[in-house]
Amino acid sequence: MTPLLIENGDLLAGLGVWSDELLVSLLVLPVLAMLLGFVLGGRAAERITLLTLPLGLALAIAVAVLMLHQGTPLSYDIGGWEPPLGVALRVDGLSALLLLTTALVITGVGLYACADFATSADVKEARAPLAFWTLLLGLWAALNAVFIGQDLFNLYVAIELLTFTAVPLVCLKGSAETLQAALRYLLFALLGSVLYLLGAALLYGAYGTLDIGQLAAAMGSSAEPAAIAAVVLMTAGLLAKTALVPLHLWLPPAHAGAPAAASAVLSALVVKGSFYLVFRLWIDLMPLAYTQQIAQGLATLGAVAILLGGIMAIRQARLKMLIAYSTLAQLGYLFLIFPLLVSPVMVPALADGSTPAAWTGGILQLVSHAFAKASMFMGAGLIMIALGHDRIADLGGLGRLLPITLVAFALSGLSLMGLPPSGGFAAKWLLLRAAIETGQWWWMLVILLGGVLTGVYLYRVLVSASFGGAGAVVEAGPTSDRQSASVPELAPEALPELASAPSPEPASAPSPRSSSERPGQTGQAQSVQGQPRLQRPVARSRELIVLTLALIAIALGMVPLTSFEILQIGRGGEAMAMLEPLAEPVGLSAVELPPSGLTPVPSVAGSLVAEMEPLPGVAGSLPSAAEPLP
Amino acid sequence: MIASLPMAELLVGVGLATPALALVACFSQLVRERIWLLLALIPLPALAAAIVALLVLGQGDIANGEVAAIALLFDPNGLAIGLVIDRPGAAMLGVTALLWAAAGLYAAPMLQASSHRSRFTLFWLLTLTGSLGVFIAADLVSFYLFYGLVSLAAFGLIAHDGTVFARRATGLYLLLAILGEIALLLAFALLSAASPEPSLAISSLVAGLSGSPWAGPSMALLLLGFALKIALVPGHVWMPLAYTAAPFPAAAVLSGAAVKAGVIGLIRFLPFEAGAPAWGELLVVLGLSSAFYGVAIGITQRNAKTVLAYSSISQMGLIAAATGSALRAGESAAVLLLTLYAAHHLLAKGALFLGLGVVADGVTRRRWLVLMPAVLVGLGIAGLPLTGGAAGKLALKPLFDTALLGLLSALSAAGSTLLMLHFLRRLWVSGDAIEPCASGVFRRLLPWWLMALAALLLPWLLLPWLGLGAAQTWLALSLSPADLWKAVWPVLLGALAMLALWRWGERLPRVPPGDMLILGAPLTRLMSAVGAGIEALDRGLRQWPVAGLSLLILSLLIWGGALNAY
Amino acid sequence: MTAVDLFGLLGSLLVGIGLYGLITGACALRKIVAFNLLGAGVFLVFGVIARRGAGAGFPGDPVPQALVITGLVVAFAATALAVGLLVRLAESAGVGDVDDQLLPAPKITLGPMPEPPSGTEERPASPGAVALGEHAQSRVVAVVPPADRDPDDQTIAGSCA
Repeated sequence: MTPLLIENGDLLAGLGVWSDELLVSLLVLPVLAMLLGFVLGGRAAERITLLTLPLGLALAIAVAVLMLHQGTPLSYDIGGWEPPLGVALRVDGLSALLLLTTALVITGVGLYACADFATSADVKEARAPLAFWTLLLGLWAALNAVFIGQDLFNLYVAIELLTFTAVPLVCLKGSAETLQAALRYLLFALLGSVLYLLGAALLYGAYGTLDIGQLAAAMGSSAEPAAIAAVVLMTAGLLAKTALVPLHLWLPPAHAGAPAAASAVLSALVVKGSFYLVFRLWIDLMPLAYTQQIAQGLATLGAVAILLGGIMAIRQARLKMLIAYSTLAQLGYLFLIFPLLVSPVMVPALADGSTPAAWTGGILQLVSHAFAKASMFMGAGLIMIALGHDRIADLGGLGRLLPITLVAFALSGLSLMGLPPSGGFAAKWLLLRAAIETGQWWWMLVILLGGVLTGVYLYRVLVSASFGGAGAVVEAGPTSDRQSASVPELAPEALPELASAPSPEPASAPSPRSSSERPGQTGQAQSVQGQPRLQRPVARSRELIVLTLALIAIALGMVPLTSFEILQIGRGGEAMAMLEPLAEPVGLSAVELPPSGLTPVPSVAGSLVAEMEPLPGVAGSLPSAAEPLP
Repeated sequence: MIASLPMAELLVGVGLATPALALVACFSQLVRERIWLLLALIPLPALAAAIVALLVLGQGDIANGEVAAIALLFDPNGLAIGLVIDRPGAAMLGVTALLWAAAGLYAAPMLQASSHRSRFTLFWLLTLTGSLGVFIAADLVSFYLFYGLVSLAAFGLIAHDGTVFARRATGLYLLLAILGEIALLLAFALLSAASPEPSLAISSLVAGLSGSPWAGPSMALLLLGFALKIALVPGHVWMPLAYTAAPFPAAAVLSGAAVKAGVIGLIRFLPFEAGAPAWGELLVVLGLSSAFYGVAIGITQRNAKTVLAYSSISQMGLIAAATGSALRAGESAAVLLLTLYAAHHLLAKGALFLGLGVVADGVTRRRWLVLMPAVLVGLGIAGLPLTGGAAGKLALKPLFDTALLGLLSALSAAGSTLLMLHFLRRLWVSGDAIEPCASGVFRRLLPWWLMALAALLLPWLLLPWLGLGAAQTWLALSLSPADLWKAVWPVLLGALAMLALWRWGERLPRVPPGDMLILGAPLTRLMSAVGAGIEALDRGLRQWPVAGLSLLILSLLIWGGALNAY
Repeated sequence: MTAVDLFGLLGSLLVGIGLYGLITGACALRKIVAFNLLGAGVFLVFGVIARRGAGAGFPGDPVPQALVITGLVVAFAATALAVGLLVRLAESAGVGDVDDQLLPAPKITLGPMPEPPSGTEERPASPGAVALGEHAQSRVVAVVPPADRDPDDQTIAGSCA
């Protein structure tokens, strides 16, 4: 036992030497793979992606393990250039968790998508596979950049890359609806990103740096008016990309129209990227007093999103549209973190480095939703393949055709609803606790009402899938009767692994077992039940991928909450730093602020004069802008 | 000595793990298609566990109070998550397992002919796991998990037939079940927030309830959650629909076992030691009105299943009233009495549903063979002397301590007699013009006889095991002239009322199952109007110019908010 | 009025015009142009900020300039992507804005075709498809998948050709 531990320690120590390289390769690996894949063509891109998946996953695990071992955030200044001129990368507990989530979800999606996006043998090159695989890698790189970026402009580039990779994924099908959805998504995202860029410009103008840490230090306890405007503009831009109600015009058609694998990434990860930045702006960057002012407002929008998304999801006729609106509602929960986290009751917990319930709960909600929603969208993709449609009313018989997918869907739904034992339950439990502890009972009602709405729309799907059929006969008329009578019903076990074979011929020959095992099931019974016919078989392995992701969402609820202390790595100190000025009465601190030192630099010129001694090495702590370029 | 402590611990674990493992095994198609054959065997380990646990708990040294319960805890960071089995839990676990085994036996021939048997089996096992676990959960999280399982998974049993009626029943059931779950979740969150220590163990949380700053809301939410589960008026509307829609074995376990999750919830979470007079009185009023309301609506019903459902509403109301009375007086010993009554109701109601199934499925043409035991079991619910129900009634007597309460409980017994006689009549009628079924006759008759016998005898046997004294003492007590008369006159009164019902019953208005649901029609219209409104709002918000403008307005608002900081 | 103020005002003006155009623009092309105006305004603001750094006697703060160049590239890429999407959209559906109702062409659905209702076997062409003109109609036909083939492949094969 002991030698093993020592060996592990040695291994980790050895890994520590490579921490800089690890951080950089988080970006380099997917980008390199993307470029290679793009050059070599769709077939190669697929193989390269499949090769990159384990590597990227291993990288994310290595970073998380290393950080956990060291107990401090990993950071690296690219090329040895310190901020403000250089660009810093930083991995703290939260970003390590998000990196890991990203890697896991993308791995799942990549394996799942092999069957959908294989370049068929009879064409030299097809657009969709090439586009999908390269975009998936690009999206991964962009997400990694968002999660480890420390420089606001760098983050701008990352978030733009995220948009540019996400938009084409929406319209891979090339139909007019998806094109329009993609264009709407792109234009609205661009509006958002311009606002973000404007904010970044103003922030640079005010402080002469774009590094989050330096900006937070320079702001101290009160921000410049220009900086407030800047952060507000950036927030608005990011909210547009997060599709917080009422800025959600693009999300439902985009997420519902994309191919299943793409929808999974979009819903599970892409919207979380911009949310993460909102979070960083208001928790890591802005002084707490400002966050306290806007927290209730943001959470109100979140509450509206929960209710509107839930009710709209109930009223959808199509499964993918329902899941898309469910994403809208679940995103709302994330914004409830703000008032719970920065309420005066929680602040001491933030300060002494312990993990407040709202913090863990919110992040858990984000992560478990990522897994559950990825599983749901991919499950919906399988349903679409198997049934040839995704009309909720006609899902009857699904339990027989795709039992594993249905179970996975139910498990993901369990997590979304917040029933134990699931990640969603742990998340909502913690949020409820936080709401009680901070005396904000109204958020409890929102959380619970959202749970009811979630239950209702999931019930619609599950009951139609498990018990539907009788009604479908009435609606579909004699046609469907004839079909179900003439086409032999297929038991899932009769299907061989048909990962990508386009021809469904083995499906038409069910094994004798499946028919002999159902003595009670006659043609009469079938026509009464209106069994749907299997349009195309679905490989068992793909169902298992969907199930695995759902199980991860469930398993998150069984992890002891103490293991989420990892989220606190790299947080306590900053929270302290933010809070010290808050110890005095809020109204006074603005007046009594010392005029020097912490004061933001009104004009870059002044600081430049002070800073432009020919010693570039000492430019660390105070804002400086210009250094002689090499 | 077989009844040793480690043995009991092992058995409790195995008993709960068996259905869960069966569930996991269902991932294999091969198992899924065949496991219905074993439905009757799967609850048996839990039955054995309950028996051994009762033996262990009854042993001298333990009865002295050294070990009040057998606990199987594991302790992640002092949260004490795990299982605990005490006397009420063990007794309920035992009778529940018995009912599930009998119903599983009954269900097998039905499933053999069904094309949806693997689906039914899955939901059956899920509900079974929850139904067993809820009696022995030691902490909030496990309790909530099992409670959620037994509540939500039951929807698959109700919806099994796939008819429009079944769907409606399922939807209503699930909606109210989720509402109840939510109320409980909120209550649990309040409980755990109020507790000074991090422990999630139910006992320690309930002990801290009286000192909680949110004692009022916690109690209200707890009562709301459990009241929806045990179908107190007006939260009862789901019960007639659900039991009518479910197949007979499913209705048997739902009405018998699943509802008792609510009773054990009341037993576990209400602060009997500290007492809560106001809440207790509220519960008494609600419970008694349920008890009479169930009878009043029940006698207008024509479907025998629906009549039984209303009888459940009435009986659960009586249990709630007794609970409320105990809560008002702060009597923690009342828990055992409540357990006895609940156990008898579980056995009797399960038996009656199975008996109804035997008649309505055409298992036997000789209806008299079914009717005779059914009369005993049914009137047992009303407290007919010498039946198991008499023990239950006797157990509740000390709880209805005032004269008024005593009278009301006697009247409710008369009402139960009336309702049961009405049921027996409908039972007889439902056997008319049914084609006899050829297969599985014995497999369906056996569980019915078994359960009828259990309902008549088992409550007496449970008395010493619950620590309530010897059965002979109770039997003698129940046969003393004063008590005999107290038990008999309500039955006679009910029989008289039945004659009146027989004579003038046709004049009663026809109340549809789920009586109050008619009042819900405007609500439904309102809901769909709200939905349409939200949809229009969403469409409006998703117009490009509107969204662009809201982006600008949003920025201004956030800006204004942030400027407010200093 | 110094040059900095002037450029600052000009930048704000551009931002304002751009925002107005982007929000109220009648068609997607206008929105794209407005986005570029908006971007130009933001870059001007960056320039002003760089220029303020020059007050200390330096030719200019290089950081904002570097940022502007990156921003220009990003904005260019965005414009190209948006125009590309718009062209494809106009080709396939004959509409030029994100809020326009797509013509009711049930053949183009978000998924594989639902079974045609009994009675209408092979609809020759929906009225909407006819209204789209020759080109659009041929595309609509190209999108229709046979019942047993993957619609994605079809679309892609059609567009790659």
